[in-house]
Amino acid sequence: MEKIHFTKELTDGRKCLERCPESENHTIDVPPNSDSRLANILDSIPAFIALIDKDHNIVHINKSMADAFGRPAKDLIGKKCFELCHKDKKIPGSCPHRRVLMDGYSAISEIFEENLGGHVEVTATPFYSTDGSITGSVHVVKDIIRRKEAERQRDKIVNQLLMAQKLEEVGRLAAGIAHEINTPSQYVASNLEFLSESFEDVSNLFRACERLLNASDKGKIDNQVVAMVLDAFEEADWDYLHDELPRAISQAQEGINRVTKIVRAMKEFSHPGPKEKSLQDLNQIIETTVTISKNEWKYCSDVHLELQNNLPHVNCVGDQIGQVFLNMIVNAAHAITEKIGKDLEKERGGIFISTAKKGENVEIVISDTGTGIPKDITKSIFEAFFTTKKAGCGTGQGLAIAKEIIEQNHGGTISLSSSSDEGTSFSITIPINQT
Amino acid sequence: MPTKNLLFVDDEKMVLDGLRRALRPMRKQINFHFALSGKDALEIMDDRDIHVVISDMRMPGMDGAALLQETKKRHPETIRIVLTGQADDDATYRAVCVAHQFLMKPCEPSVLKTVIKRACMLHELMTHPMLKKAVSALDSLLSLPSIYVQIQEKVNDPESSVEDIGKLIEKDLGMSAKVLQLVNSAFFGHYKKIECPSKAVHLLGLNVIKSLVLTLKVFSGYEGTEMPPLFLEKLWHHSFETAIFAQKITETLTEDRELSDSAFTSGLLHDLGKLVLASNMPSKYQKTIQMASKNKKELRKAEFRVFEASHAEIGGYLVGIWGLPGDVVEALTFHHRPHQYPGKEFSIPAIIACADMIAHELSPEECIGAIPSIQESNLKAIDAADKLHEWRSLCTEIKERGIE
Repeated sequence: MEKIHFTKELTDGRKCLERCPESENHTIDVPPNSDSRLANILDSIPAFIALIDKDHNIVHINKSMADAFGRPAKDLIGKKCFELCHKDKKIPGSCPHRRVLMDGYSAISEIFEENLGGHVEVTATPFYSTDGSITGSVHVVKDIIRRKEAERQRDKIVNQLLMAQKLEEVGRLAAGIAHEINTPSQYVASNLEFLSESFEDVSNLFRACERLLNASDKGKIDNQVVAMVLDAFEEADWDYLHDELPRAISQAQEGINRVTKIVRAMKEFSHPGPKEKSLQDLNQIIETTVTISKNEWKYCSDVHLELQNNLPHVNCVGDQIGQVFLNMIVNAAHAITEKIGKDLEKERGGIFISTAKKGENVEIVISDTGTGIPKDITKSIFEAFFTTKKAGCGTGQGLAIAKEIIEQNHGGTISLSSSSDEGTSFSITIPINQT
Repeated sequence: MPTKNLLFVDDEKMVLDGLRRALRPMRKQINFHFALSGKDALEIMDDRDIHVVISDMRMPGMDGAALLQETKKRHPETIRIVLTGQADDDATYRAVCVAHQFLMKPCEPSVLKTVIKRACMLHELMTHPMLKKAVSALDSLLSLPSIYVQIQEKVNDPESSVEDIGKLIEKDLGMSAKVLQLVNSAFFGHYKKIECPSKAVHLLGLNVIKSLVLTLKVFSGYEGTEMPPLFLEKLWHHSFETAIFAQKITETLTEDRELSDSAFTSGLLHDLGKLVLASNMPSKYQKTIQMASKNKKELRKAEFRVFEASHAEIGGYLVGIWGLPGDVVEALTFHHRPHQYPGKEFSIPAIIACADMIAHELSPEECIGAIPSIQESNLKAIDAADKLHEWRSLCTEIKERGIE
């Protein structure tokens, strides 16, 4: 979070200082901590102030700052500032002084440095010699712990809000997910019952065959034995079993796969992943989200995925992005349900999700064939608490949160790209390498 | 038993395939039919007599509740069962009024087989087609007006507790039967059999009771019925008294709390069949009552004449298709012929028979026609003949102390 400000006031201030007769005497050669009035004034300022020369040596240091290191100011003169402040042999990357020396403009850095008391903002303002060349910079170190604390609080609250919304979403999906698990469990159980019953039949059949082999060993196969085996085949209904057993097995396996898939997706979705950004496969996040929301859309619609192969992984908080997709899919399903209602004659709707790399971004387009969004409210859809759903069906937070996640947290964009009676289309872009 | 026709409805083909295979051993007694949608199901039902329909709840187009509603209208005699994977759903609440039983996916094949066998057997036992229709199509059972008003007040009062409401419902035949139906259905998530109405209310919770009373109107007051109010009041009083007697008698025989709960419930519901007849065919039942009073005959004999079944079989049939625990079904069915009760163990039907008889003896004015009698020889068979005297004095004592 480094920003370079060119601050007109500071430059003007410098000129002003130059014009001031006192300051004429205090160039970079000013003796350290002279009794001059200026030094007294500097010492009385509670902020940390230091004058650093081109080689990062401390030329002047005010009392507040020297006190912070627990040593008299005179002991600190001539030390390398980075060695003193950062206990480091190298110049840190965030060093504003270096930037001042490079481009001649004031520079501000927010850094965390325990030696300086935690979160601080360092302003480095160029210091000129009488001939106008830069000979160093004045450092002013300001404590910004309160501001940092406030920012942290805000982030915390936003995170809690996101988490709450996500839990609400998971809660709402729970009944549907239970259904998606209970249904395959039913046919797994049924097929296993069939397999266990069939095993009895097959065992009896084999026993009959055994007797036939015994009879054969003794060379005594007679009509009676043959009839018994034929009976056993009849009894076991072997033709039926021969066709049905493999089907029962494959359907039971298919059921287990369905349960596994949804349980895994559920785990992926609800497991609180890293709060920090990391490289994520958006295609996989989309597939997971489609799986766990299946019960929301399967009665009204099909989902068509057009996910670009080898889509670059995107630096994002996977958890939050999944939440956005879920909101969009559930909204789409609701819009379609609203349109086709319970009318069997009407065709099922469609939800289309595509991903593609577009320059430095990944673009995700989510479209549906639902009711569309009326023109007069398209402006409001991203506002918090705006909803057209019936009470109890939505809190009006979904799209507002989606916008917060995509734009504030990931520096991307989310917009309604088209809406008509034919349906709605949202477009989301997320920078691939956003930090 | 002639082959029965059973229809499964589910939008998931693999569920149907699995059921077809798992239930194959029953194929000699039952013809299984399968439909992938409500629409197909109705076509099948229009084509042939379907005795039992077991439907999924959530399906595209017509859902399970709508299908069962339509089934009830077109084929009232069909036993309607829900087999749902939905953990909670408004649609399932809608089905409370139209489904006889609720099963939860995944349903163990052995449980499903038992439910199917029982439904087919009940269907077979209830021979009178008119009666079968009337019981299966039953919308709501009459409640005693005073209790009905009180319960409405109670559920509207935010101060009232589950206990208060439980105590009230326990006094009403129809409400007790209904809450037991719901609590014993897997949908409400209690896999253990519950036989005590107040416990049932507790487990269902206030919200469910509220929607039953206020939204779904599964209980009804008795405005507009032709039955004399006195009949209902006597029936209630007698039912509650029999319940208490049966419970106390059971307590002298065993310390098993479940058995005494079961005796209470069976006693409370033992005349449920009378309520069914009074709710559904009031004018015909009125005549039956008059016939029994005039001829000084036992009411159940008059019922047999008119309906080809007595209130015992009718009550048993209703709680049977509602999926109440087997011992309650048996107690209701056999309470006038305990010696025919096939169970060898502890005989609740016999206890109900005795409690019923004692209650009538102690309040003869409440009995219509002749007091039902049990032959000593029949009591001997169930080892109760020598205890009858003891039970009589126990019940007299309870009655004198006052029943509350």
